[in-house]
Amino acid sequence: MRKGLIVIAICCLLVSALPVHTAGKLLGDGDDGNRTNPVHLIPLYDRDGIKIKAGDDKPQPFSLRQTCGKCHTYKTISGGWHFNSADPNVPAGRPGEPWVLVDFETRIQIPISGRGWPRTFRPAELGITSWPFLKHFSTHLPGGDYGEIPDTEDMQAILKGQVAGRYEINCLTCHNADRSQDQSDAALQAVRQNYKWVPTGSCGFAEVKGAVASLPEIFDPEFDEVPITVSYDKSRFNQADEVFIDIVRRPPANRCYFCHSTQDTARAGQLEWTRDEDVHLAAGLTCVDCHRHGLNHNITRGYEGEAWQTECQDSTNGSAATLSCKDCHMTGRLGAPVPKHPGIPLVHFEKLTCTACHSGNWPENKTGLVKTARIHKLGLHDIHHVDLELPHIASPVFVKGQDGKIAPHKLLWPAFWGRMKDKTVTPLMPAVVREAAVDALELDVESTETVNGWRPLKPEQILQVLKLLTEQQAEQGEAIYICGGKLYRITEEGKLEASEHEAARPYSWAIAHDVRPAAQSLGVRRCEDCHSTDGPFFFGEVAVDSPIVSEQDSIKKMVEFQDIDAVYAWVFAFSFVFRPWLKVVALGSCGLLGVILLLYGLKALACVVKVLAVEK
Amino acid sequence: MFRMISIIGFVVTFVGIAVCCIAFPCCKECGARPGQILRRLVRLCTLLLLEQKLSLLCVFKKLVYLIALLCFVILAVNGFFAVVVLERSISGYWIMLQTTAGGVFAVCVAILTVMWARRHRFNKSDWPGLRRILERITLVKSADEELLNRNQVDAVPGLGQKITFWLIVVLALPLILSMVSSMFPLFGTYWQELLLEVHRYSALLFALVAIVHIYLVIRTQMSS
Repeated sequence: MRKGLIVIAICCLLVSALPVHTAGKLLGDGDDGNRTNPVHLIPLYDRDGIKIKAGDDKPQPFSLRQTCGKCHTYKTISGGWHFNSADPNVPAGRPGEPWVLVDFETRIQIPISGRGWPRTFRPAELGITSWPFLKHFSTHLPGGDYGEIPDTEDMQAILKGQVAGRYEINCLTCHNADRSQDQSDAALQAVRQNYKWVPTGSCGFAEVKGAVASLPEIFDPEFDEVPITVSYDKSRFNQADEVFIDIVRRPPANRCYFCHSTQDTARAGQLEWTRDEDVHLAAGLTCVDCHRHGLNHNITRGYEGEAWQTECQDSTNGSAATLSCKDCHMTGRLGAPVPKHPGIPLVHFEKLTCTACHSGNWPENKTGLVKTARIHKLGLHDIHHVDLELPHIASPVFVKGQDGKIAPHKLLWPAFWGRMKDKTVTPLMPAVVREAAVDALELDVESTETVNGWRPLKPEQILQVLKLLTEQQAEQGEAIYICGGKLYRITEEGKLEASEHEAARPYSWAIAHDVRPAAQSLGVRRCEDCHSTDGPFFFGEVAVDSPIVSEQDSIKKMVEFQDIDAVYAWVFAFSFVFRPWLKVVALGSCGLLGVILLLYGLKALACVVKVLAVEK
Repeated sequence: MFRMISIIGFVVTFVGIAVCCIAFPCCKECGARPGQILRRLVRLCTLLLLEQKLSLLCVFKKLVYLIALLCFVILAVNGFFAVVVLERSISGYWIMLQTTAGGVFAVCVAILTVMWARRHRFNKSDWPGLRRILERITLVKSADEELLNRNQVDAVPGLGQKITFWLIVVLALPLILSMVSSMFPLFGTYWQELLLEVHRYSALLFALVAIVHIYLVIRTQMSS
């Protein structure tokens, strides 16, 4: 009996010593509250779950699904915001930065997003399956998403997909604090279509040679040796074939910057050092102090109203409401200064977001252009470096958002050939246009002539191309071309007509960074920072981006994007000229009233004193 | 809440004025027949609009009074219509109208106060009850019986008119200052909200008192 009790006690101790596994949860899914980063001295596993050893003759690339997935539920993580744009069931939330498909020859720039934001197009609408999607956009993709959707339509995908592998979530993109983690290298592997080699090629302790992209069309991995090799730094392996990876819960800002950088073209290159960093980062905060998430990686974007928009996706995201500008700064969270906003009428907080006054570049009379890392492929420092001028993105453009408030946006004018049926516009892929309009667009003529970054286009060429497209598959709809905010079509008389159309309107997305300090916010000097008849907030000029030579100088006033009557804006701004006079007059009137009250009040007091002092 | 209070305030005021008109007509010929009402309106308009033999100063006084009246109507309608009927704050061209009329109104109120303050000062004839109490306390009899009798004959402002006049002057200060001070970078968001509430409620009181004052002025003019 006594021995039996001892055995039972020992068994209990052993069980309690085992890693905590609640139903469906792995070791790394929870957080026991200890704030140190667990040391990740871990074995690496390849795609088939086989452990990688230092002494392997032909080492395989490690798979993070297999490696990290031993302790962290990969499926849960893959539903996060960075990896779920292909899922149509995910609430899209506020419109954000799209991918942009650019084709210089056919004069195309189309905003693309799987999220279905208004005036963007899902890849499927253009016939872009996951393989061509990766070909265009994988340099700044953290893996997962379209990278893990098998492509059974694209011939290249069928031929090479088996070798290239799936582009799994690259956890190291964010969570590897080691400075040798090289996202430019990850992008290079992606350009080479070495999708399953991406984490290995960028981790800093392995080298990948070869490229799937250079394999011949007919390549059978069953019979042909895959000419892509991996060599690990063997000194990184301990005796148990484990590797230390400096994994952190809270990625440093450096990791976020690879995909989320913006370049001000007015201060590019040699002048880059003159730009100031976001005031939050300068103050010691990091991106993840505000943009947080749990295991589900449903990262908070930090805008007002986000909680209710994403509520159906994740009920725990109610905390998103506490991580917006207003909610941190009105409560002093993380030491955020509580603003006083002296002298600012309350109506400003109803009509403007916080970012309207505090974010982006100080507005100038002519809106500047910016480049973003994801759209212009910034940060590539090898043979895959590109210097893209298109698309032109104007910023800051003050636009009234879906919430009815004016906020600074980045703005892009779409340009594409398409078909219109029942007023619905569907873009055509560049390849379709190339095939149909080689002569009309002079595609067989090598030309380096550019106008404002575009290969110039003439109205006659548009007419010619539309006629050619009309001859082909007319039943799919009327051939149209959209650019510069207009829709071009052929009239019944055979002439080219330009008109307004919803699909031709520019696509814009709100920005929040870089945040300027309070002393550099709009209105800090005087009301006329915005309310003046030539002030950039209302009357700044936004260039209309178009390949058509005759439309190059078109501009739109900022007020046209704010759903405000331009005349009213001008008259209201003009009234500020008289504001000082109003103050003087009103204060003078109050002074006079006060003096009269004082005078007669003293007289009344004198009467009372006199009456009370009277003696019979 | 402000909307409800405003509605109640205006209803009570107008009902009170109507009851007063009916229960205490201002003249012997006054009645409720349409012809009599029309005669009174015509007389009122002649008092306001037709050329009269007045000195330059009186003409100026009348002009300022008419402008103040017009501005008051604009401000009251523009201000309360948006809040009470539309249940939103004033915006757009209306806010510009409100600000413009407000500036003019402030000047007019100041000028009218200067011109009418003496006329509206309180004297012993305004407080017969109080005077009797004071006589009892101090045992000093008043020698202003003639003044009392004269006041009852001439069209001088009555007690009610004087009280409403001084209330208007007192209320004009928070009404104007609450808006002007919010234009300076002195007060933060919390104080801006407070100033807006002060402006709203002082505007409401001002409007009600002004309506009563205007009624009493008309009543005094009609009865003289």
